[in-house]
Formats: sequence, structure tokens, C-alpha cells
Amino acid sequence: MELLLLLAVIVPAAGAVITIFGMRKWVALFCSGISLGLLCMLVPQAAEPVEITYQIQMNPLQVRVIVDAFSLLFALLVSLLFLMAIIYSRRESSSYYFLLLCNLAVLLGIAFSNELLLFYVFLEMSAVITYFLVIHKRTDESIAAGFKYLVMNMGGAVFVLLGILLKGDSLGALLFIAGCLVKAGSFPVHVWLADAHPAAPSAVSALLSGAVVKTGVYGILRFAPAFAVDVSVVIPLALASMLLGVFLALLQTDVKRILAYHTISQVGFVLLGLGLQSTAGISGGILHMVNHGIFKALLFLCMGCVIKATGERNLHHLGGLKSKMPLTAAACLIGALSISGIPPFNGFVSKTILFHGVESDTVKMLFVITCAGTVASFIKLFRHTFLLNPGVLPKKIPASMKLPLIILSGFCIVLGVFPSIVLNFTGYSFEFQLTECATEILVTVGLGSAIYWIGLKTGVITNPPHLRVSIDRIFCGMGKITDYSSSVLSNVLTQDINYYATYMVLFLVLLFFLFTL
Amino acid sequence: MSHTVILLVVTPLMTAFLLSMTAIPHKVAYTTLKRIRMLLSVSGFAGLCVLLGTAGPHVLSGEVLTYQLGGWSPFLGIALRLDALSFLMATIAVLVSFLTMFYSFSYMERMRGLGKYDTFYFLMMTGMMGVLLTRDFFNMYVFLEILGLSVYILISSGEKKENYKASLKYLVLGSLASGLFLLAVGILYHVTGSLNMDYAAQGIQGIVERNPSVAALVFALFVVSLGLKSGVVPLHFWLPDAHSMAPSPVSALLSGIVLKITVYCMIRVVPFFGPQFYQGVSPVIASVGAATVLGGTLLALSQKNIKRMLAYSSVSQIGIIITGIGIGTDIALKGALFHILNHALMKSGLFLCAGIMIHQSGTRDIPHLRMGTPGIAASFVVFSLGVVGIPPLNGFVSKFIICYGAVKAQYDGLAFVILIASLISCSYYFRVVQTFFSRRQGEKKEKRRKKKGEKKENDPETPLQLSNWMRIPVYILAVLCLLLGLFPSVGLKAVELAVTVGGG
Repeated sequence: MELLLLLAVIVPAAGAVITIFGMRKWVALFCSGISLGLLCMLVPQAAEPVEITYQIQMNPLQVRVIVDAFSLLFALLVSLLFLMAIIYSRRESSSYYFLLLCNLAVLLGIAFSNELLLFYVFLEMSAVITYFLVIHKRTDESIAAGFKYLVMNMGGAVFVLLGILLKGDSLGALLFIAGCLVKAGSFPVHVWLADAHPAAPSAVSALLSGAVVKTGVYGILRFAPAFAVDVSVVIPLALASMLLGVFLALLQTDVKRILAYHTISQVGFVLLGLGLQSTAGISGGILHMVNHGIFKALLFLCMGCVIKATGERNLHHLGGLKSKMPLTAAACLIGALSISGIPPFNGFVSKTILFHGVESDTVKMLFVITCAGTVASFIKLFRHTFLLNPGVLPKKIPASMKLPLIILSGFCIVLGVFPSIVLNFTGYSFEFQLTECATEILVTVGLGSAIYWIGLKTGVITNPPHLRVSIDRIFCGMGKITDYSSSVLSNVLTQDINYYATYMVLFLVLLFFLFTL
Repeated sequence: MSHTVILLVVTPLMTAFLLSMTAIPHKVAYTTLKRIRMLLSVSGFAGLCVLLGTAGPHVLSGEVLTYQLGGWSPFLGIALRLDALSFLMATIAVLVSFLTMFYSFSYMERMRGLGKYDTFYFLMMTGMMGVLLTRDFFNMYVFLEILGLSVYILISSGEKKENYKASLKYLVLGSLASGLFLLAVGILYHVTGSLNMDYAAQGIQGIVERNPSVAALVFALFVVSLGLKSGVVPLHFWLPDAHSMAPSPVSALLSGIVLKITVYCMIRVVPFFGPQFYQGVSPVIASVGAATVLGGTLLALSQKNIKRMLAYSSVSQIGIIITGIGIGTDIALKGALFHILNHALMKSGLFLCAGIMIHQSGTRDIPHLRMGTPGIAASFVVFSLGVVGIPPLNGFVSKFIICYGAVKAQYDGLAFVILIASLISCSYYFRVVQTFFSRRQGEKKEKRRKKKGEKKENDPETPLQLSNWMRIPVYILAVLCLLLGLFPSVGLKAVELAVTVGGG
């Protein structure tokens, strides 16, 4: 069992090294496929969790590994998504597959680590590798987005490390959670998401939204007990993410930005589940984590196909693609229905569990509003891309890009009809009948359609207003303040040697006084 | 009495002498002279490596090798000692200097006066070895001066106006600092009656108790003089000019080793006054370190010139090391020493890369740097990740150990400062990295090429032919950084020994 685990993590890493020399896509496919297979073989282990400690001489870093239901679930999700992304990717230049495989190995490391410092090490490595993936297209947009991504994620990682170092303190716990939230893209540190996901190549966006963002959530899930902190502090932030994400998504015209803002919103759902801390909450959260990974990757890859076929990212220049790209349209429809929480797709299951795990009525109302907003936003997305009058004419896209769409749609359907596949991992059973939830579904769909219709009539959809107030400005402002203080500091210092000598003597006197104390 | 110790100082001195003799013959062809000089330099370093290699097993098993000059007793004469700490520093110095020397074979080729450069290179090595091995304060002063003089001349060996300016600034301030150092040594001699560190240490205890202001004065003088030479805020002002205006291999040496030699002196001096004194001054030194860390990073942020940015980054990293020394616990000292090793590798690698990139782009401005060879760009990324402190590189390990030591010693704020500084340094290092990937350069994508040993075709755009002499040292340093990061136990074991034998 140990050997399987080690191989599952090391094979992608070895594959990454091999890709430097050639045969990139086949090596990548091969390695991630093997990894996924090995992890599937480990599934029976979920019933009896195993903790292994490897002895290495690096005090205080210990390599403690845990193989239990959560880690296997996360690992399976990650490797599945990576396999899909690799199938989808076309012939890319030098470092792309190398970085993908490295990232896979590192994320699997995150999945199985039971030791805080090890988690941090892999988190940092993942942040840097993902940075290089985000800037892969080398456009000005990607580079700016990548830079923002890197600085914010480094900041998050620094908070995580501080939290780990200050573990006994309550401050440490808050820092750790704050750091993980940055990684997860929750409010108020979501700003990097909105820029990084659209700017990255589509397969990378799918992975970012589907897997990388989940590492933050996974960190909170796995390590919150170690910090003895009440996780429900994340609930207000989760609610804010949910609402803000949907609201901002409704105002976007760039297809990938819409999906990025929805990631913020859906991760809010997951965090809400974690914050509730009941079995229903946690199971719902984890299930939604898996489901979101699958349908968001599906949506990103669909949109990637659309963008590749038409070369357009603007919603209002697209339209009428249903006839020319039927498979993509169907897949997108499945993804949209899943994310909106319509049975019999997977989103319905996790959202229902979460809904019934919530006790407070205000929260339930906010939940419904968010779901309605999601419905509205995806009506907009689907309608303007695939229905309506034709916009740009699409070209043909290769079959390798369509295959992952089929597979992921299949998962959406299968996990929707048989949710126990995943729920067995969390020890919860889904016992809601369709009739019980019918009211909620109808209310959501009705409200969503109403929102969309109102948006259409008021012109918000076609001509979205530009927001003046944004959190993005706060972070850019922080960066500007640092820059400013830096330039002020360097302007203060003169170039005259006389001043330097004077400082020296003054410093000497100061030190003398300090030392005599 | 082990002769290896004295040979470590004498070998580079003799090599320097022989190299200076090569300047005499007039009728010999330039290429022959060049080859002779290269041969001499390499054999000088080979000799040093052999000496260190033979001494290594003894020292690493805890033995201490000593040598008294002229057979005089240590009380009166000059004693040299090679213990684990000196050995560690000597290995770092020799390693980095060796690699930089290969780099400068190619880089300095276009500058005249190569004989002068080589001679003073080895004089600098003599100075370094002397400082590292000596147990006598005045002797330390002498060798620090030898080191300083050679460095001043090396900085000016580029023979451009800015080189002279930088050298002069460093000379004036460095001499002031040396004067203060001499003053400290003088007072110490007067008060304790001996110049030898071990004997004076016995006398100093009484002084600390009876006359604490004298001890404070001596210590303050030491800290200021050594601090200035190490580049501590607010004594760092000469550093950006000197490091950025010197030729690239000299910058690498300066940032990589010369600063560390004076930090080593501080490591020797600070515990000298006894553990209670150490505990008393440790908050002050730790705060000075923290100020250096923050000051260096903030100043680096607004630099447009890449070498100035790297110089300020050095200030910041030295601050981290000083913080480790200031905290004083075993863990922190271990981290500080490991960071000395790591930073020497990383910063010299960075400066060597910067030299290549500057010559290939023709400019020092960050927004206009071209990527050059992919291998060099990749090495630059590796070094930057190390300095920022990202796993799995060596910089992460040492920074983490220092932060861990800080938190353990109740200095939580220091951990904050160091990590926030890492965050800021991430932004300016990646500002450089991202210019590699910017499309604005308008160069065609380079074909994939093997990493080592491939001759570049004569590209009419690149002004400098990138020879293997310049590439391979960079790659070696990058590989070392990666290895030390993935398997730090090797470095950690050596450092642990150095701390127990040499430090507190």
C-alpha cells in the first residue's frame, strides 16, 4: 500500500523530468493515467485510515502521511482533473507539460500530508509552479495577472507559515485560516482569481478552479483540528463570497471571467459547509468541492473549445453556436444545470445537503438568492453563447478537446444519480426525495429567470455598468503604498560620503548607550 | 601544530606573488601569458582545495588544528586555528571564489590588466583565509586590511569611471571602519593585556563586571566597524554603489563572500564577552538585524538597475543572518550559518547571471533586460526562488530555521519581519523574472538546447560571446542550490558542528 502511494506521487514527478527530453504529451498522459489508476487501487484503504511517518533528518520537518477518505477523495479529484486537462491540451511549448506534471505531484503531496510544515512546503511549490502556468501565454494580460496571483498567494503562504510557527497562539490559528482562505479565493482576498483564471490557458484555468483553489479548503478541513480553532469564523466570509461572486458574475461579459467569479461563489458554498461543522455541513462541503471541481472544469473546457473555435471571449460577440458545435453545447448545458443545482445532476445533491444543513433562516434565504443568481448567470451564459443569433462563425476543433467534455459530463450525471459513490467517503447518506426539494428548485429557477429577464430589460446584461468601488483597489493600493514608501526611503538617502560618516558616528554613540543598559 | 593551517594562508599568497611576476616579461605573447596565469590560478585553487580536503576529515570529527607562528606561545604570538566554523567558512569562500574565477577568465578577458586582477584576486584569498583562521585580534585587523585593499583594487579593475568612484567610496568608509576596529582592539589590549582571543576572553569577564561601560564601548566599536563592512542598516550606504558599479564577478565575490567574512568576525566577537552580556545585547542586535532586513527589502523595491537591486537584497539577507546571530540560541545560529552558506551560493549565482544578462541586453535597466540563454534564465529563477525562500530550495530551509528559532526564543515579531520581507522580495525578484517572459522583447523563440557545453553560433545581435567558462559556474551553483534545498541534511550537519565548536 505504501508502495502504491509513493508511486502515485513519484510517477508524475519522474514524468516531469522525462518531459524535459521529449515526447511530452504522451509521457504526461501516461504518467497522470498511471497516477489515477494507482489512486483508484488505493480506494479500499479509505475504510481504514493509515498514518505513516517517514524518518528524514530534517527536524522540525517530519514527513507524516495520512491515507484516509478525505485525502483519497481529494487526490482522486486532482488526478482526474489533471488527466482531463492533459487530454485537452494541444501541442504546447517547452515547459507546459513539465509544469503540469510537477503541479500534479505537488498537489498529490498536499492531499496526503498530515504534517503542517509539509503541507506548507507543497503549498508554496504549487503556488510558484502555477504562476508559471498562468503566465504561459506570455501576453501582457497574463503576466500582470500572474504577478498579482503570485504576490497574493505568496502572501497567503506567508500567513500560513506564520500560523504554523505561532501554532500555540490563537493568532496562529487565525493566520493559518487566513492564509488558506487566500489560496481558496474567498472574500476578501478573491481578487487574484478574477484576473488569473481568465488569463491562463483554458486547461490551466480548469485546473486552477477545479483543483488548486481546493487546496486552501482542504488545508482548513485537514488542519483546523490541529489548531483548536472554531472554524465557524469563516461563515460570514463564505456568505460574502457566495453573494459577491454571483453578483459580480452577472456583470461580466468575458466568458472566462464569469466562470472565475462563479468559482469564488461556489467556493463560498464549500466554506459555508465547512463552517457549519455538522456532518451534513462537512459532507455537503466536501461533496460540493468534488462536484464543483468536475463541473467547473467541464465549463472551463467547454468555453475553451468555444474560444478556440471562434477566437472570441466576449459574450456578446458569440451566439448561435448550438448548430455548429452540438457536443460542446450539450456539455455546457450539463455543466450549467449542474452548477445551478438542478436534478439529476451532481450540483443538486451537494446544494441540497448544504441547504438542509443550514439552520438559520437568513442564511437559507441568502443561499436561495445565490442559487437564483447562479441560475440567472448561466441562463445568460448559455443563451448568449449557444442560442440567439449567430455571431462569429466557429472553426472545427480537434476530437481530443471534446473527449474530456464527454467524460466530465458523464461524471456529472453519474454523481448526480448515484451520489453515494462519493458520499460513502464521508459517511453520510443522501436521503432526500425529489418531491421534498421541489419547492426550493422551483423557487430558485423562477427567481433566477426573473433576475435574468430584469437584467435583460434594464440593459444590465448587454451593457454592464463599471464598478467604481472594488476590493481590487485595496490590494493594488497596498502595493502602491509599499512602492511609494520604498521610493521615499531611497530618495531620503543622499550620496554624500560625509553624511555616511556622520551616520556611522551617530550610530556608534547610539549603540554605546544601548549596550550600557 | 599542524602545518596545513599556515599553508592555507601561504598558498594564495605565493600564488599572488607568482602571478605578479608574470607581469614582468615583455616579449612573451599575450596568449601565452594568459595561459600561464590561468594555469597558476587554477593550481593555486587546487592547492587550497587539497589543503582543505586533507584538513576536512579531522576538523569535521571535532578536532581542532592549531598553529603558532614562529613557535611563540599564543599569549605573545599569533595563533591560527582551524575549527569547524572556520572550516565551513573557508570551504564556502574557496568554492565560490573558484567558480567565480572561471567566470572571470571569460568576463574580464576584454579588460586590460588581467595580471593585476589575478594577483589581487589571490591577495584577497590570502586576506580571507587569514581572517578566518586567526586567533589574534590585531592579526585579524591586518588581514581585514589586506582583504579590503585587494577588494578596492578588484572593484576598480574594470577601469571605467564608475568603478573608480565605487572603489573610492568603499575605501573611505571601509578605512573609517577599520580605524574603529583598531581602536576597539587597542582598548581591549589595554584592558585585558593580551591580543589573543582565548587569553583576552579570560580577562574580559572581570571587565564586564567591574567596568561595564568599557565593555559596552569596545563592543559598540566592534559592532559598528564590522557592521559597516557587513552592510548593516544604517551603515550600508556604500554597499549598493560598490556592488553595482563593480564588474560582475567582483560583485559576486563581494556580495557572496566578503560580506560574510566580516559577519564571521561578528560571530567570533559577539559571544566573546560572555553569555550574560550576549543575552543583554541580543535584543539590540536582533533589532538592528530586523531593521536591516526591512530597510534592505524596501529599498530594493524601487530600484531600476538590476545590480543595485541585488545589492540591496544582499543587505536584506545579511540582516537575516545578523538577526539569527542576535537571537543567539543554537537553532538561530545554525540557521544563520546555513544562510551564510546558502546566500553565498545564491547571491554569487545571481550576480554572475546578471553579468551575463546585462551584456546580452546591453543595459542594466530591469524593464529592458533580455532573456538570453534559457539555461541562464532558468538558473536566475532558481536563485531567485532561493533568496525569496521558496521550497524546495536552500534559502527556504535556512530562513525557516531562523524564524523557528525566533519564535522559540519569544521573538515573534522577528519572524513576522523576515517573512514579510520575503513577500516583498518575491515581488521585485519576479518583476525581473517576468521580463524574461514578456513578448515585448520581440525576439524569436529560442530553440530548445541542451544545458551544458553547447557552443552558441555567432549571433550578430549578442555583443558578448557566451562562453562555457561563464555558463558552467552558474549551472554548478544552481545545481548546488537545488541539491542543498532537497537534501539539506548535509549542510545542516556541517553547520551544527560549526555551531557547537565555534559559536556561543
